[in-house]
Amino acid sequence: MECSEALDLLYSSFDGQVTPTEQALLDAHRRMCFSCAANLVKAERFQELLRHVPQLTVPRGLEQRILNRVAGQTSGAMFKAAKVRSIASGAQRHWRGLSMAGAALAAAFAIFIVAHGTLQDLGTHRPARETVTAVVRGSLEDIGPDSKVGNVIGSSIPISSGETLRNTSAAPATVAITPHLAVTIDAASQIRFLKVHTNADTSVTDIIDVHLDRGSVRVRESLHKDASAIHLATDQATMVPTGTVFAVAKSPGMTHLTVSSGKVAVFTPSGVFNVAAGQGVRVARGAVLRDRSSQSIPH
Amino acid sequence: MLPLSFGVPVTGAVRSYHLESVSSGRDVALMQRISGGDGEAFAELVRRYTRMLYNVAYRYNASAAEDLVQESFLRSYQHASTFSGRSKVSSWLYRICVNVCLTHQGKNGMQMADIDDINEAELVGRHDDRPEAAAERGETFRALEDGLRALPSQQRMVFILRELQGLSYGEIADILGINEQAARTNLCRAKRRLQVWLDPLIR
Ligand SMILES: [Zn+2]
Repeated sequence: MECSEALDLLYSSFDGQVTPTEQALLDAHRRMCFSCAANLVKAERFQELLRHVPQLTVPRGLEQRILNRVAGQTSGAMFKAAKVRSIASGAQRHWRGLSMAGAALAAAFAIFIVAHGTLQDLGTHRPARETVTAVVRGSLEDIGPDSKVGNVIGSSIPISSGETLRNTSAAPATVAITPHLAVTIDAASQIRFLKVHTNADTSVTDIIDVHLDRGSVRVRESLHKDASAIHLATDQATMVPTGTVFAVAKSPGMTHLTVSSGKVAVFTPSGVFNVAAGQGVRVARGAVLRDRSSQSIPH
Repeated sequence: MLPLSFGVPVTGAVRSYHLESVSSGRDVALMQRISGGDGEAFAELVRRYTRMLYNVAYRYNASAAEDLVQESFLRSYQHASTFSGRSKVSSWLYRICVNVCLTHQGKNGMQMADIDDINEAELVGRHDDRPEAAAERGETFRALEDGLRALPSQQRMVFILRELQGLSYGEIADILGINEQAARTNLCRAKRRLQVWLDPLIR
């Protein structure tokens, strides 16, 4: 028997894959071959070592990231909303404690839409529970939950859960959703309202879950409550602002966030990070990375 | 050397495997719900099998492990209707994951500085080792991972499935689309190379 055969036979014996005859041949070779003896002992120790290789634990949040990714890349609309919400509700809990400092900043912001006097339009619609009325400045394509496409130019529109807004024009368009919240959709960008909810008793819009499908958006909100109504999600992270102006851009596999005022809490399934004014981060593969080249957006 | 199929295998060293040849009715029902777009059923699949696939993907390519697992589950969701119930769900998922791993072409290297090492995989030992022994082992396990990366992809995968996941040669052959003898040959080659690689650390 060759020494190399002896080693393979020994490996096979670990699997119980040798016959008694083979085992006898192997044992005989071991007794006779001086050069093999040490190597075969090493092989046994190697095998013993392999028995102790630990199973890895799953990185925190991986399961949720899987669900987010699958939701982001497939068309199961119901599935999407459910999963993104589950991050968002965790976000809300966590954010509550951090929001007091942000509240002070909130007063400093005024949404230009207020100055333009278009807010009275908001009162003319009786919002249903899953609908919010927004005022659009600029030009947008509006794709309803029923896939009906319409064009919106400088008017007020009802937005329901499942509605998509797409900016195919060359100029940004701004959607004022509440008196305290406006989202500017940049050219060649698209957002989807995963869920909107207005409290029927108080008429307060308390849930606006937006997914950035393509391009970039800027969010301007002046908040004086515990938690922000808007949660802006990408495949990588959910962003919860307070008293804030921030911009989010999407590129394949990555989310770029730039904060120019206030703070934004970035919820990745692996952790929560606060990004302050003047800072930018990228979120990719569950990791939050400081964006060294980022500039504050003008406002 | 005698053919391996000759005679009766030595039973003393045989590992015990749970060799279900077909999936349970519960698995089939789960897959049917998933192919119907049931998000809760899919979440259940993810809960059950993420660790299994993560272990394969991580040993195969640590830096892309998360991506590989995500991609595997994405495909399993998209192709849920092709699950026939002739194999176990785990085998079906292994096959998807193995294909994703073997066809993975390292993405354009995103070299960025992490501000938080949030994804550092935790190693949890199965045994209560003495700390110094555990530390020594940690070094050996890292060396093993380095050695694995140097192996040709098929050898690496056979090694992972057999030695780290404990699958039978039959299952491995089925998952990789090779015959059992090829699986054995690949395993022997992988182990020779790894043993040489780890030699200084094997005492
Ligand atoms: Zn020899």
